[in-house]
Amino acid sequence: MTSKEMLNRLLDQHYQNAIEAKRQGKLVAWATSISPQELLETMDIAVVYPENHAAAIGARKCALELLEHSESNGYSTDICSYARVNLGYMEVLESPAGNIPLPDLIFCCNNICNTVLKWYENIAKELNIPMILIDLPFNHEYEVTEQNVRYIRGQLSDAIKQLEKLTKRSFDYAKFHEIMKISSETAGWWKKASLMARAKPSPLNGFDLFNYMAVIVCMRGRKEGLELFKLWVRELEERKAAGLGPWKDQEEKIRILWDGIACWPYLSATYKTLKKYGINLVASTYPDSWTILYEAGDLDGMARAYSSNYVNRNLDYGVDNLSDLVKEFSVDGLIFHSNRSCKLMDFRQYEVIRRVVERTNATSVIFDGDQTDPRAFSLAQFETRIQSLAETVEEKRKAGA
Amino acid sequence: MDKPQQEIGFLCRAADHPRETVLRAMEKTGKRAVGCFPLYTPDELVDAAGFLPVGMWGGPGESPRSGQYLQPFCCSVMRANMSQALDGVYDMLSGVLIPTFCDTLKCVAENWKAGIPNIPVFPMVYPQNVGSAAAAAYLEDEFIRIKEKLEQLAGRGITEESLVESFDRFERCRSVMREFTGLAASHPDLISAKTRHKILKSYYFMDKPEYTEILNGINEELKKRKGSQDSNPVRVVVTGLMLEPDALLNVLDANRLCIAADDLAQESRIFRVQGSREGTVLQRMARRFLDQRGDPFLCEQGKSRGKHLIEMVRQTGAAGVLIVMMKFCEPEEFDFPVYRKELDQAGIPYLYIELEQSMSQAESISTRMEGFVEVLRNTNASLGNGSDRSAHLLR
Repeated sequence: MTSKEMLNRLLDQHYQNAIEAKRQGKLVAWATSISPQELLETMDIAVVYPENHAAAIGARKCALELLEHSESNGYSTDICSYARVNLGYMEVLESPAGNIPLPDLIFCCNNICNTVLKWYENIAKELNIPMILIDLPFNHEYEVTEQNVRYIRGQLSDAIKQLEKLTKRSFDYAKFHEIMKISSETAGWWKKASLMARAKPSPLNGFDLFNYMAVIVCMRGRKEGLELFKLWVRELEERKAAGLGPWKDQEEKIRILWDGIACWPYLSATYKTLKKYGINLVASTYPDSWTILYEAGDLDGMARAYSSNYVNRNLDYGVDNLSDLVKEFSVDGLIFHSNRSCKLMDFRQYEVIRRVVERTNATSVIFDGDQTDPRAFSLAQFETRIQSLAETVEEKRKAGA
Repeated sequence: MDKPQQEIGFLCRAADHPRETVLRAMEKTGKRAVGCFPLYTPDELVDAAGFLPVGMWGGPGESPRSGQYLQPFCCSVMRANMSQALDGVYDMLSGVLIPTFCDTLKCVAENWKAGIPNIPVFPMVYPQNVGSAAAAAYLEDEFIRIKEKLEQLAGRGITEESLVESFDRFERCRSVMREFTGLAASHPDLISAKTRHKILKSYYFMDKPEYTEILNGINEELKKRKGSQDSNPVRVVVTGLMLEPDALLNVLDANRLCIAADDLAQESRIFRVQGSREGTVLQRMARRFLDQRGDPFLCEQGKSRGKHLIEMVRQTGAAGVLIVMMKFCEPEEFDFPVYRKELDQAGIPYLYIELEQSMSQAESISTRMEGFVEVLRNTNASLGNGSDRSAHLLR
């Protein structure tokens, strides 16, 4: 079996398991994408990730109906489209992209944005179910402070107590230890796969990261997830050894870093546009967002790791991080997605672009789009920007030569 | 009634000329000023460190310079703050506190470091997990951290004694503001919606003891005064971020709308919770924040905002709710569908209007407001119910 086949099988299994769990009367949680799922796995609670589901709905081009459903309920079109898709789905409960069971509890972590606080608060209110919150304060300092670690650690202990109360079972610390170990190991292999794109040409077609990401989100604490990334790394190593690039029918001419979430409804269109110009996505902030590493058993380390993701860090860190990626992955150009849904990523972009370009001399473009709302993207604008990026990179090369 | 009118006029002018008001307060007190972004800045700490806390809630003007940092779909209040900062309007400030309650505020705080390096910025993060035992300790730590920053900025320490004095000073000011909102509702002929807003807004720019004294004087006069001459004002509860710009306030006054009570971030939400008398000042400040309910910027299981609005309507005998939605304000936008449903269920009529602070015209609002007022006056039928519900949503 190839890793791609395994990926699809695991995702099918993931959603089937959740539906089956619900049928058997087991607890189902809806959780944010970078949350300490270790706690839920330990308690044998089936977890579904609305962001993943919304992305899948977007990619299958069936988001619009759900967006409109939410809008008719009074949700502004300015609100995050993942939230609008999910809050619509919560009532419609049917999507051609696949279904998920309604939750019995909500597990929310605001290290990805404060939007999820509002979104999840609304789910909990509408469904009248408990919400477990791990509040991870934004890091305006460069590093995560001890003050923040104390607060997060306190909440992890609170969450454990809340889960014990909900499940009427005591928390199994030995199992927790084991899941922490698997989660860290899976994260390590996910990172290893993404690092394969350092090779020139990259054996990794970067858009694959958007697909494999589903498993690092949904199955980080499971052995199957770990096995998938090990297999993927083996395949990439073989490709690299054979000197293969990302595609059979196109050469890798330009290497780019992608900033922001994918435009799911136009995943294939954006991919094909890039490929047409020989542009391969070799770096993004995604790999590190799930490279959540800590020693098993170390709750302070866990607290720090979950607060250390890119979007929860300050602008100086963002600039350093992107500049390092440009160097490490031999990036020629940067593509910034000004994503109508994601204010936290957007409203730092302009300053980040100025500084990263100044520091690395890479070429950059920015385009308007949205992660799931098909109405906020123009393929013509995207292609014009990409064309201009390709031309500028070419000109710089000629000037350099 | 000359005296209250003079004092009312004084406060309204103070609100209309923030820069001049702040400079006058600085000159009069000999103090430096520290800017305080929305929301819930620890003004007591700023005061105890010897600074004047100055509110920063945007403004009508917006220069294209904010576009160097923020996309057009950023809320107009934050675009205005960035514009004014880049244009040097805030150059009299010695520092700025930015509590980063929403994603936009997080980014604005980070952009401030880059774009306005001459004014030091101190971002603050308030706890969202208010139900957790760890939240109070964290918030106290956060206050201590900011206290130390302010001490460095002032070049002197803050004593517990001065902190107690400051806290008491602000508690007194907040209680006078609470009293004012109650009295204003009985005198809409003297305190129109616009006047009420300006009086409350001037708090942000004035020296607080002076403000408290003047407002208390107005309260005393209002208590002596007979009730409103207008026997049939249309009383509403208003909810949202803030009741601006002037174009909107003019529409409210033209329709003789009386604000029976408000649930606005810029107004009652900052003073509606009374501080406890127990614990150290920092603990009391933390408790006052953690006791806040029904606020879109604080995560709350069970979301009590709708319940609060219904209670406010019933307690004040208001005829309906005016929802002032600041465009692109995600925390406010997320709450609306939830409390709307509760207002519908309670049969309370409401009008939803979407605003930008930079808006100078309000024709479309005017027409809808007239319709709303007419319905409130003539019938008790619920605007929120019925088949034309979407007519009340301006998109």
